[in-house]
Amino acid sequence: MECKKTLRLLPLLVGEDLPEKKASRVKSHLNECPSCMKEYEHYRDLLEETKQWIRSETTEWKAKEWADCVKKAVNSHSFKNKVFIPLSFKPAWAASVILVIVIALSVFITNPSLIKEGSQASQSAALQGEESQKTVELTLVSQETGHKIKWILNKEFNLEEEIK
Amino acid sequence: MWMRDEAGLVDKALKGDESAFEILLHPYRKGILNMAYQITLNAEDAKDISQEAVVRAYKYMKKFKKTKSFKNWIYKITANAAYDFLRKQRSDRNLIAEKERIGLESKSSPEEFYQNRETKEKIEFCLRYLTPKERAVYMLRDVREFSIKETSQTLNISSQSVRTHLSRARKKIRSQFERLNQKKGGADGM
Repeated sequence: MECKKTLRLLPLLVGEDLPEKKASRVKSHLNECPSCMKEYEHYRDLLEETKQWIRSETTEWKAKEWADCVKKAVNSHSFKNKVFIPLSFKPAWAASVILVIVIALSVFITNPSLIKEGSQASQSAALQGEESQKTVELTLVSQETGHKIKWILNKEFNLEEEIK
Repeated sequence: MWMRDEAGLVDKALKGDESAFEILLHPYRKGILNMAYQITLNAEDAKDISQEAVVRAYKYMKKFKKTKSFKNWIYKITANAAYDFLRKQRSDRNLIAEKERIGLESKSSPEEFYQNRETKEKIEFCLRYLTPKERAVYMLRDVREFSIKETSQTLNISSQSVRTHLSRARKKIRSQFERLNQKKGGADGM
């Protein structure tokens, strides 16, 4: 391996971040080339020193600051609100409801006979209700004499009572 | 045993138990703050980032897999919060850094510069030209000793991208470090 390529790979070699094969090739060059080895050692020491500077920089929480930090986090979010309808699903719920309404409206608009059929159905239901009565009254009126006869028939249309 | 305790605390925290959440985070509170501080080198920013990390930890607690390490999880969240912060602050930071650079270079002699600077300022000098991504990669890999894989997972970038940014970051740090040494050499020679 040439010195130029070795120097290009040094930034990764100093942190042991080169793939194994490449690293072994660079290292074998370093063992043969004192100037590249010197450069490698210089690079490694310099980065180590910078790391130590950074690691020496620390700061502390004040007790109240930490307590407030935790409190703020807990107050910023509630898991209980999301038990039934998680926030992320709310738009999905709204979209579903709107879709159902739109489908229902479009069905009635494109096929209004459904509405008529609906009203006929209610009429027939009323008739059925009447039929379900126990007796039927039938009143006959003579147009010539004005005489009235009222028949009361049962379910089987047998005469139960006649009122003259 | 410890893992099981943490899992129990996670369950309690998920039910809204504030004290369980505090106990869960307590051993890592310094680590969270110092990770943010070492990335930003600003105590106030570090506290803001830590606050954001704690909020995210609570919010996404349901996504935490109890078989995994809580420590790694919370540090990844902190690193991510810090990275987001760096990206947001990038333009402001560049402006401030440029002002500082002009100020330092025009007002201070090399001797004054080296003798008066605190370690923090030397670090800031070395990291000045790193992009947010380079800085985040460098901090996670070199300072916090994350593996290449952990760094890539934390920042949602490929391992190759981690290596590329790491290499650039180390080159820039080296270049700045040598500038700093030149200043020191200049000061010593006076």
